[in-house]
Formats: sequence, C-alpha cells, structure tokens
Amino acid sequence: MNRLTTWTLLGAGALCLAAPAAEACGCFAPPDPTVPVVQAGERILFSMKDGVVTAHVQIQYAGDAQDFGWLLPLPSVPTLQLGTDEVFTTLVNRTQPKYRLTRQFEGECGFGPLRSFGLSENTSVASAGAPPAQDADSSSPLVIQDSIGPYDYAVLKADSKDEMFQWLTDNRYFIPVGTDQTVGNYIRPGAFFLALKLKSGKSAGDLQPVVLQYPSQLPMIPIILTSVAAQPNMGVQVWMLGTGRAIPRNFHHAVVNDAVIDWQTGGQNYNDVIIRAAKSAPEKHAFVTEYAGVSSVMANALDRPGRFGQKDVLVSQPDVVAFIDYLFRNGFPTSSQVLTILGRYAPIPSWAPAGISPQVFYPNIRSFARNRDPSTLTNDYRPIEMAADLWTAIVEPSKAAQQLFTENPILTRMYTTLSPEDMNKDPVFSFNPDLHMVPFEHSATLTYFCSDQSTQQGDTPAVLRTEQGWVVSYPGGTNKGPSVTLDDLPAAVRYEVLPEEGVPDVTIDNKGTIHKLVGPASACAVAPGVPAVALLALALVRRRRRG
Amino acid sequence: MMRLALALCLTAACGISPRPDAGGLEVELELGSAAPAGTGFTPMPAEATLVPGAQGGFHVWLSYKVKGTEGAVKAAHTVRREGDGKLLSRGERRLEVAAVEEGGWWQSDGATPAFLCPTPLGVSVIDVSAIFEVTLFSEDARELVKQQVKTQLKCPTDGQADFCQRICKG
Repeated sequence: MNRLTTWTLLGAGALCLAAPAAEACGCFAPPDPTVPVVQAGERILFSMKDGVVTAHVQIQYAGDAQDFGWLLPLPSVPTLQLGTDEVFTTLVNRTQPKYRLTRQFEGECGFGPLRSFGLSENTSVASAGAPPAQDADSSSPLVIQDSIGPYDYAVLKADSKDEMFQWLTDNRYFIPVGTDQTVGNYIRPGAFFLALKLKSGKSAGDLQPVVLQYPSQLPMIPIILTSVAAQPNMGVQVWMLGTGRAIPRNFHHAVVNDAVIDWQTGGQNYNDVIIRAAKSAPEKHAFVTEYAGVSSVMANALDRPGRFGQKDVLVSQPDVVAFIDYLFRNGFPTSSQVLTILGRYAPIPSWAPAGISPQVFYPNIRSFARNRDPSTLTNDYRPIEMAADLWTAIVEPSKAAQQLFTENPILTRMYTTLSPEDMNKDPVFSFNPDLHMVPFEHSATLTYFCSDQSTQQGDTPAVLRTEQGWVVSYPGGTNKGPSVTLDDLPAAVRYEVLPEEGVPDVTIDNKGTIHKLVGPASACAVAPGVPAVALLALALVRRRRRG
Repeated sequence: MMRLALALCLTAACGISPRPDAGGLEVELELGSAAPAGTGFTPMPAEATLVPGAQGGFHVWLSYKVKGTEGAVKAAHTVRREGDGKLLSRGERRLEVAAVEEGGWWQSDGATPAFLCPTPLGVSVIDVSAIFEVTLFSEDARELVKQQVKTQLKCPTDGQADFCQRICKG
C-alpha cells in the first residue's frame, strides 16, 4: 500500500526507531553510547532573513521506495534545493545536551583505586530553484512539476481540496487515510502544497533532506497535518538560526527539573523526562530549549578549507578505487547519501568479505582492493557523472548550509514530544533577543561518604547535588536508589510563556514541590541511620586527619 | 493635547520624523494595507479584519508607499497592543524601491503580512487596538523614516470566525 507523508514520513519514523542500523534509514546514530538517544520524528533547521524562511527538513523513511510520499503546506511557492543529512547529524552532535557527573569520595573508601579524601573522578560525560519543467494550465491546481535529485515534486494550489487530491491521485501521489480530515486548515486561496515522491528507480537510501525557501514572516510546523501518520510521543526537534534566541510563540516553554535526570547513566532517561514534561504542560504543549548560544559551534563543521578536495582532481583519478579513496581522504562523510551513490556506480564486488557493510568497505577500499584489478569493481568507470552526483548531493548543499551558520550568529535548539491526539495546534517560532543563552552541557556532583564498612562503591551512602541545586540522597548507596521516588517529582521546574521581548512569564512553578523532596534542606534527612550524624562525623574525621 | 495629536497622527497614518536619505532628500513613508489577496494599496482601515494566511494563521497586510529614496531598503515592522504595549508581531522585508518621477510615490507591489495569529500565549488580539510601526532602513542600516498607524483588530465573520477566535485569543 502506498503512503504519503506529511512534513516527514512519520509512519516510517517508527521503522527508523526500530531499525538497529541507523544508516539504513538515515536516522541519527550517536557515536557515544552514553549520549541520551533521542530519535526525533521531525528534524528541521529554520533560518530567517528579510522575510524569507529557509527550512532544512530531514526526511526519515525506511519503507519501500514506491511507498514514499511527502506533503507540505506552504504560504507561497517555494524554491526547492537538496540538503544533506550531515547537517542534522552534525547539529545533533554539536548541540546535544550533555549530563556530566563528577564523583567525589569523602572518608576511607575501601573499594577501587579511589581511596583518598576528596578525590574527584570525572566519570561520565554524557550526552546525554531550478526552472519549472512543466507549468500548469489555469484550470489545474498544478503550479510547478519538476524533479530534483532523487525526487519528483509538484507545487499545487491549495484553493480546493478536491482538485488537489484528484491531481495527487492521478499522478500517483497517494493520500493516507485521515489526511482528508486534517488538511482543511491549510486549504485556502493563495496557499500551496508541495508534494514529493521518489523518482522511479530510486531507493529509500537515495532520500536526502530538502531545503525550502519561501516568503513568510515566521516559521511554522504543520503538526496538525502530521498527526495523520504520527506515533505516540513523537519527537519534534527544531533548530532556529537568527540574531537572538528563538522561542516557541504559541507553545509553553518547559525548564527541565534536573533532579529527575539519571546522571549516573549520562541522562539515558532524558527522553522520558521530556515526555513527562510535555505531558504535564498546559494543553500538553511545551518545548524545551536544549541549547541557545553561538552558532559558531557549527564552525567548519560542514565546509572547511580543503574539505572535499578539488572536483577536477577527483575526476582525473585513474580508476574507481583511486576515485573512492580520494573521496574519503578529503572528508566526504560516510553518509547514506554518499554510500548510495557509490553503490550505484561501483557496487560492492563479490570478492569483498561476506556481509561487509558499505560503511566499512568504501572508506577502506584501497586496502580491500589491494592486488586486484579495479575493473572488477566496475568496468564502467564514469568519473564525471560520479563527481557531478556527489557535488549535487553533498558538496553544494554542505557549502550552502555552512553559509547559514556564518550569516546567523545565534543558534537555538528546541525539542518536544507530541502524541497524535495532542497535535491540534501548529507550533510557530519566533525570537526574543532579551532572553539569556542556554548551555548544552550540564554538571552535577555525586559525593560518596565512605566509612570502614564501605567496600562497594554502589553500597556506599552518597549524595547527588545537581546543577540546579537539588540534593538527592542515596542513603543505602546508588545500588539501592534514592530516598525519594524520582518519578514522583515534576519533570519540569517550571512552565513559562516566552514573549517576543522581555523576561519569561512563569505560569506553573513547581519549585516548591520539588524543594520539599530534594531541596538542600531535605538533604539532612538523607536516610534512616546513616545521614546527618554520620556525615557530620565523617566530616570531622576528615578535618582531623587533614589537620 | 499631546495624546490627541498623537491619536490624530496615528489615525491619519502620517509619517513621523522623515529623514534625508544619502542624497539629502527627505524620505517619506505612507503605511497602508491591501486587498484580501495582498494586492494594491489601501489606507489602513479603522477596523482591520484579520486575513487568513496560507499556513493556518491570520495576519494584517501592510503596504508601503515611499518617496525620496530608491534602491534596496529594509522595512522592519512591529505590532503592539495599544493598551499595554505587548509586542504582537515583529518582522522585516527587503524592498527594492524603483526610481519614480520626481515627487512621485513608489508603491510596493505585494503587501507584507504582519503575522498576528497564532498569538503569543496569553495575548489576545481580538477586538483590541493595535499600533503598527514600520521603520525603513538603508542598506547600510541607517534609519530613513519611521511611521505608525493604529487600527482595531477584528476576526472575520465568515467560516473562519471560530478558528480565528481560537488561535487569536492567546
């Protein structure tokens, strides 16, 4: 059955979530296992300039190519270009929330090498347009029909739902069940829809982000339309580039309660915390700001002097092995886009080790092909076409994206999760240059209070002090868990409205509730038996010994 | 008396502090609205009906007439609620002001949407008086002229009425 997606292909997003090999669907796979894994259903990078929105949209899909389709309402006829997945993988990496836990040891610890007083061990760094090929006649909703990269696309007038749907059906852009009910808000004179599908002969691996430019005063995500194919608690990740910090204009803003973060695993429960925070927000609509700061975190990330080498030198390589080797020696990413292009021109040969992945084979082709005739890889070496495809799919989009980070000084990363039943309002984004910046690195300290009985680190009483100042005690050691049930604590310290100027307006303040359970004062009640007195005694011992 | 003067000035959509451009000419700006399709120039009405936008929002069209300068300029606008000064919208657009005969007005070809709904949370724009302010800047970021106009914002009364009431009340 054919399916059509909205904004990103959400049914496929579920497949991405389940897929162990991220590269199979272009999903992000973080290199550090202690990074909180957040698989966003939608990833979008917006920038604004002179009343024109530029939107990089990552399309995540892992189904059959012929089942792929994509539909997006727009306020004006867009220009369409190709983007690159590397924009998103790099953005995710460089702005990822990180929860760094420093462990300290007080007293005589009878375990491990960390026996001295006050020894710190930083143990966990978590992280956590082309001219139209065909213009329409006046009676058709079709405005533009063309192709770009792996896609065929059409821009349609959104004056009439019936005419638009008929055109989509006639042209094999199939419409999923439910779209009929949700598309109504976007049907009006002067509006447009962009419809996208894969060209015949292309595979899901050919999918690459698209870059849209269209006149609009503020960027918006048509989440109501997305609800048709959405999964429960679908992640929505937005980056905004501009001259100030970006804000969700019509959604609440949540400040995460860092007492509920699992610091010891580098924030592996991060996504669950966000889900809880979003569900507890008014209307269940709240974004978290994960980063607001300089866009120079992306400096040289996508385009730097010397990267990609020179096209004429690439084309002059004597054989396909030298060609591919040149790519990876000059910084081409091992993204699914690159590997798909290489696979088309030079499929992995039968003499390659059985089961070897493209990610391993192509970057190391020089080693694998040693003492072999390059023609056994392909007897149809076409360097000009290969280079042209790589420049179109990788080099030019990378350079254009890098330029955005150069032109816009401030980058904001926002995240939320939404379930289909809560996708009843389209989030709109704006800026408030008065707001403070938000770092993506967070830190906490876990102090172990050792005694003569301390033989196992996990059984030693400990106290966690978070960045926000909350104190979570582990009277029986971290193995036994904290003295309070963290799930009982609110996931957000506060919910606020972020105006377009001035300071936030707090609408729900959970500070008092949190303070009662993990406020600094409650730390004295660390636990029955051990706590305050023991800690005081340990402190005295330490002082005497030092003295 | 001052308030009366300001009110008269706003309702008349008069230019405020015109400044000479680089060539020494006095730059003038007339701020108006447009037909529902965003075409033409019409005086800003005393009551402006919110226009449904293509992405499921509502806006008021802004059109410009400019005299005394030509070439690229940036038109930056803000919209504030008159009662409490709450910022409702902020935006900008690059204009290419063509040469016109001496003393004539150049008129923008397409109107600019001043985005209003969905409104910022907790801020209603329905039946409130709003002040639109537009500032023209030269390419080298010099302020050329600033103008304000005031209007009462209304939801449409057609099939969009309910939707407008829902997303424009904050």
